[in-house]
Amino acid sequence: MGIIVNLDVMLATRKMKLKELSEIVGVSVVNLSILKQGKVKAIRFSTLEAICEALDCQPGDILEYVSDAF
Amino acid sequence: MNIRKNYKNILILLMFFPVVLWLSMKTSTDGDSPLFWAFMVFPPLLFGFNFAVRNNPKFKFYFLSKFNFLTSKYWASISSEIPKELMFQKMIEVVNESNLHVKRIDEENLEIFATTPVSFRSWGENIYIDFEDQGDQTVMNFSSTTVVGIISWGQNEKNYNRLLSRFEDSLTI
Repeated sequence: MGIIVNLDVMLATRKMKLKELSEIVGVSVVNLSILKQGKVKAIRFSTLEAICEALDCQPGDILEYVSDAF
Repeated sequence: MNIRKNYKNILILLMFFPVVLWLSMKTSTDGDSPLFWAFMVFPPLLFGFNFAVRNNPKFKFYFLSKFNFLTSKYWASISSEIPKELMFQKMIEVVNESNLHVKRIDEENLEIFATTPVSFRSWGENIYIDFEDQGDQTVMNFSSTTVVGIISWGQNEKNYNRLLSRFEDSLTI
């Protein structure tokens, strides 16, 4: 499984739409959608910081590691 | 330069011109054969026609046809796990951020048509991008064709490599 992106869970918890987050963070909706699906190649610390600030959460709330062993 | 991939076009032209010269010499002895002049005028006219229609998306199949031996074509595909619609939107972003001129975006058929600018090295190329599903993968089909010229001098490949590189870079957000 590897790294799981829980951005959709955080968005639902904060009752925020992807478009709103996009406007706050300054990252396009397309890029956030790709991130939400875990298909991005990498994420910059600056982007992660902006998302955490907008959602008032920790990086660990957005990213989760799940072992491939199970 | 990729002469090997264009060898068919070169061979056809090499066969084409001796035939024209032979026909012109056979039909006229003083060198002013209408056939000869027709063939001298034909290539510039064809090039002019290609330039006139290069921005028209309806001529996609004309430029990409294997029978159009006066243009050099290049095809490539990229597979991704990104859903088709999302990848289409992503590629629109990538193309808009590049030096390509977007001519048409077909949101129904998920097709992008763009052209490269004319420069000292190239008369410009037409770029066609479309998407299809293959199982759980999305395949992006890329085609680049010269507007005029039987050899692209590596420009088609460069267009693909540049776009691929920009696409991969854009996946770091």
